[in-house]
Amino acid sequence: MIGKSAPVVPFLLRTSAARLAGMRVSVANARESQADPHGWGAMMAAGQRGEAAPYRRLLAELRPWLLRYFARRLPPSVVEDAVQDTLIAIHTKRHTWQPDRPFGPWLAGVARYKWIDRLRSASRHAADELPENLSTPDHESAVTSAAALRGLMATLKPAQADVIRLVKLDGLSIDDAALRTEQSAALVKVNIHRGLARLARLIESDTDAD
Amino acid sequence: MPTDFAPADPLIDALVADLDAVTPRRWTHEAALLAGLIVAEILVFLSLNALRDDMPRAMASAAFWWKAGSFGLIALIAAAAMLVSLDPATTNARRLSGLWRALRLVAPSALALGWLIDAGAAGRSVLLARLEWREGLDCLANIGLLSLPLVLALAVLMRRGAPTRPDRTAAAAGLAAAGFGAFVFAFHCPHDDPLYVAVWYGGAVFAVTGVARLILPRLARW
Repeated sequence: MIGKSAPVVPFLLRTSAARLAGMRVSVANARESQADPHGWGAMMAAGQRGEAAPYRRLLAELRPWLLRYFARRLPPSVVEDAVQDTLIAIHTKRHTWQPDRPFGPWLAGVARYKWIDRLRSASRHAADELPENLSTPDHESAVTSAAALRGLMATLKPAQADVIRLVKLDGLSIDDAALRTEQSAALVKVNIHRGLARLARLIESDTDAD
Repeated sequence: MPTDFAPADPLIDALVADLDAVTPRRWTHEAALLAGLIVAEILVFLSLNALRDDMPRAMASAAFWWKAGSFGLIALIAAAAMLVSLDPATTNARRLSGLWRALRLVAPSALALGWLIDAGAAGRSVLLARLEWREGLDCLANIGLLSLPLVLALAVLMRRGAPTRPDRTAAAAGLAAAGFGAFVFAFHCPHDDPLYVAVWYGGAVFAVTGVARLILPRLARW
């Protein structure tokens, strides 16, 4: 916060003409940074031309962005896989971004596709339980974990939402979840499978879900 | 060049090592490819002297224009939706959902219009005769054959693109290919009977769309 305070004095000392010119520049900069706030579009355009350094920087900057994106949207056990999957997709499909368009919506489209893809495959592996030693680095990330997914689960039947929350997000075993919800173990698996598949369909058909 | 900001990450290393220059996709090029294929198919018919003999008379009839026009229109909308859907950024855009809606509206109503033209000339006993099923199956097979190169071209485009609703993109690809196939075939086929067209042309379009819907998503997984 402190580091970003503007240099006030030099500005006051400028002549009005210089001030006008300076304003024009800053308006242009503002417009540019609005279209491409992180400079990712420029980096991707360079990547499309085969320039390795900006491209490496882009991928390195996208990685934490994707990590945050999927941490809010997926069970913790599959977040890292989803990030890597999406980085590969961004790489193999980089020609589908058109440099005269903003980069953000393209990135969001790819990430969203991979999100739905992951939910689908998680629903096929409904019975998989979270690994015992799943690391939870700090309290905050445990609380915000899969926050967006938890929100969307409100649209599911309680029987489905409960077991997804218990098994996929909180890491209970199928049997424990069965005891807790008074469903049979087989029903827990079925409800996880149906619930996740339904979530994937909901997100896919809802143009505004994000 | 600065590399200090990026911690060692084997995946990113591998992706950067794999980097080479790519040409961003342009829908104009892809549309030109499709148009080229359609023109080529018409040229093949011309060179085989296979245009229908009564072309001048047909050009004056409403049924001919209904036939060629509705399949051409269906194919145009489907092709536009298909090409737009290859960009992850625009899959959820409003103009695309408009195209899907137009497709859902135009395709059945074009065929229904045929039935409506037909309703004037009732006569149930001759219905079966009018269907001329031997020639009908021939038409169906020919439209399928004509749409094959287009399906293949669209499959290549779909693999190259990044469709985020693969099922819809595949269906649009099938509909576009079959629609253009029917459009081209309309210049050869002497049958203008709306009942005949609705059943056999419609059947061919339905079949090609269904097959594309089933197969293309598997080929274009990403």
